[in-house]
Amino acid sequence: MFHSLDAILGPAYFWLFAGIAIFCGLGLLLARHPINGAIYLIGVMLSMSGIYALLNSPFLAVLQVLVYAGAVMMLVVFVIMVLNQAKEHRIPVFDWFSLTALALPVVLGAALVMTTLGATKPTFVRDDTAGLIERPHADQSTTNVHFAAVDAGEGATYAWDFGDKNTATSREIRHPYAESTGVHTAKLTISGSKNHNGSASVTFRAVAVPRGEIALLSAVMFDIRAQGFGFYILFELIGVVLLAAVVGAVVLAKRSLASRPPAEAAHEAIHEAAHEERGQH
Amino acid sequence: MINYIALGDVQVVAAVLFCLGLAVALTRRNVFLLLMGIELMLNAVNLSFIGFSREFAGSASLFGQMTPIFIIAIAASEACVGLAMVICIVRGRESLDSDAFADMKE
Repeated sequence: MFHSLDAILGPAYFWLFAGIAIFCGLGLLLARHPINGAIYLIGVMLSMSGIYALLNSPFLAVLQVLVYAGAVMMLVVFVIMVLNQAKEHRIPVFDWFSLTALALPVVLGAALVMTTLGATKPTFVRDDTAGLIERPHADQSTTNVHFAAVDAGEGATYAWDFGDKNTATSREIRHPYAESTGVHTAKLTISGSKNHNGSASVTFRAVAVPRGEIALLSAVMFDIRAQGFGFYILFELIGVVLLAAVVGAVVLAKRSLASRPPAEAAHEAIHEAAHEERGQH
Repeated sequence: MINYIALGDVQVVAAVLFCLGLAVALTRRNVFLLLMGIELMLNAVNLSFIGFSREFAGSASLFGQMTPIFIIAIAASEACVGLAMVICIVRGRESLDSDAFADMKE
């Protein structure tokens, strides 16, 4: 029983995180003040980080928390608080034009969801009315799939067909699939038993080793001899883009300081001169 | 290992989040909420890439893992420049309403 836990808990955690993400997304859409919206968006990003971890991408899950929920949203919250005295309460939350514009995302969303649901097949199919096969499970990092049949009593023979031209005859078996990623169908036929004769099949989708491992990702990005220059040059270019963004932000902020109205600047200059004079006395 | 979380479910969640982000970016007039809507759309695209990365073998899978890293870096620089521009504009206008920045129309 214990090994089938991840089969139930995996989708359960996925839908929990997805529910939190969609709830917080709606909260962002309906938020009255941008600071509430920012907190809802942090909720979306944290729950998406959980989904990434469930989808075998631990490195991106950490990056999501560090960069998005940490750095970017901290900057957004900081700037909202700096500009909080601006008169944003005069802006209506929605007006008639924005409500018409809402039609586009609603139609697009409905179309995307309908086509996705129409195009995808179920991941896990068990054609087993008599309950002959226990739910198969695999090790975390390999495609060694563990199969077990129901105990059919003495004299029963078990015939497994794993769908890759391999067969077996024992009740419990651990079968390594050579082709790691793909859809596999395993069939079981039980004969010679008193009450469990018959055949059943189970179809499932196997995935190879976790894709998001740091060792794998760093090898893809930095191992030039094996992978070529593609990702490495992209990585360097992203560094240049980030540097340009930092320089641009500093220049923009500087210009906004310098472009005050001249009257105000002159006024402050007089004040400063007065301060200096008082300091000298 | 066996894939228990269906690709279709991941893509449906990503599509819903993308459309929520699009709705925020299109309908809200506060510039901060506009920027946050764009961030949400970028996040939803990342989720879609990671879902596909898990489903396919070989270079398609690696592409699905590498692209979100670059999208996150681009989103960070976009937030950096975008917020600097917001500060720059708001200091002159004293308003956070995106309709106040419609000088190009006149």
